[in-house]
Amino acid sequence: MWRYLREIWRGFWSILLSMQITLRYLFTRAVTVQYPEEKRQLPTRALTQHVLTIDLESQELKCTACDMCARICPANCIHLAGEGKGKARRPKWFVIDHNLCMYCNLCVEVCPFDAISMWTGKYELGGFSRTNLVYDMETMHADGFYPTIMTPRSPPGAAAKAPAAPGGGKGGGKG
Amino acid sequence: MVSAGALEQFYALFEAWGIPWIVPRLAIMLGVVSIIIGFISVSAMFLIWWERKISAHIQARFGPMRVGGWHGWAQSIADGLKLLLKEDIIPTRADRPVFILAPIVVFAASLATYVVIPFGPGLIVQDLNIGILYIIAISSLTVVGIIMAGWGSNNKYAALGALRSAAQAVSYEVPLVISLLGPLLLVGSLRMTDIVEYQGGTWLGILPGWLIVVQPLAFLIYFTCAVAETNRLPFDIPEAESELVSGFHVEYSGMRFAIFFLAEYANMFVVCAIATTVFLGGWQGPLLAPWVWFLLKTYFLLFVMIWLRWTLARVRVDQLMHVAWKVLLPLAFVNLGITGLLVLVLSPMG
Repeated sequence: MWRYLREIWRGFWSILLSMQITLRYLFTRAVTVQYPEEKRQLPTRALTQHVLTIDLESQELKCTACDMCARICPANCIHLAGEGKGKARRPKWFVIDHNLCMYCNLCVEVCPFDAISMWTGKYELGGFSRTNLVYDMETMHADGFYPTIMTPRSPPGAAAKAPAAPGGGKGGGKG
Repeated sequence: MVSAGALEQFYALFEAWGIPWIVPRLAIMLGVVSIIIGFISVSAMFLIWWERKISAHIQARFGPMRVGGWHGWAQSIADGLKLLLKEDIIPTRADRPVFILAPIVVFAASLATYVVIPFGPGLIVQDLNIGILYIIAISSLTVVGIIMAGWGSNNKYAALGALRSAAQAVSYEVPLVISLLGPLLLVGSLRMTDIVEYQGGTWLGILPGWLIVVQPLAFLIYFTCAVAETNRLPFDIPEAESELVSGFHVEYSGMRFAIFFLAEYANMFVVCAIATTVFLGGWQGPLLAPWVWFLLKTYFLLFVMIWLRWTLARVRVDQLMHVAWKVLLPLAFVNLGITGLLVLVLSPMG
């Protein structure tokens, strides 16, 4: 008899406790991001659409059409042709087929001049036909500074203005 | 509501014009029924939206946000329109008349209970002197409709759901009625307005005169049984999505399904309205208009029902029967016995 009543009470009490928990969650902020209106801040190194980086002073492409990226690409989605000899060599046309790209970042890692980057944050790559996803040199031409593996996360000028957070840079010294 | 005198004048007017007596009475009846159906639809649509919002926020989501602008307030209206426009499918092997009649029976049963709900002083369609008894009798008709739906669909899941629903409703009606007997012993009347007026004063001068103060156990038993009667979680084994797809209304689509849905939310409102009337003092309350108080209390209870649904998991069939027969029924009898004894002992004083 005693045990029976105690179990009823414990069942009732556990329901009250769980209801307290759900009530607390009722008044917490929703974690949902209302996508088209608000967008998530991507991590700096999120792999997204390619960009051909430029030299900030001369505004020219860093690419020398060495064909390394096209050769390492496992999906075989990079095609390019160069013109000019020696140091003057530049790409004549440069095409990446994003239908095939699997975002492995190998083209970026192999590039000897940091001329290509995938850290652009451009992830809305929808298109109405497959040809929409084939990007040419004009589409991928950088409009400003984009970080790559070898460069700082922000443009060289901005880094001097905003000092790194304490303990952030292990290497020390001026970046 | 119009007083009896005004009604008589209205009837007399028609009689003076030589129109048969049935015409004005039918007109009044149709008017009342349309008001009630309008209220049920609006309240059900609000409840559906509210439930989706509460469930979403309990799970740290937003719920409907797009339709209608402000927090998706028009979502239920859009859903209702969609259901109206959908194809009405009747399975070939179904029992056609039973299949077609089932949603009507379910909805009519819940519609009929609105007759005796006291929204405020005078705001009651018909103040029957057997109000509570009438509600209990009529609301058990819902089960008939559910069994008709389950049988008529000619589908094993529907039949299983209907059988479970019948077992559940029959078991839970017993403690439900007995838990209501305690407060009724104190009031001494089955009339809804009498029950509300009994709760007008205060207990010991401080507490409100609501019957929940002296009958808390009866209230808990009633509320548990009410949740079970409306087939809602944690007692939703008749519709159990994960095992029975959705129980008795598997085969229903379009407007027929919408009528089942409407009836479910109308039933939720009815059981909460009875709980408000019997235990929470009905329309009694300071400052605000009586009907506002009534709706506030009822919607608070509805919120608790929704809150409970998104807190607890579904019980097993054996646990369901255990709770009904081994826990709620003995407690309800104990409550009834003690109340009866106290009423007998204290009656010469009061």
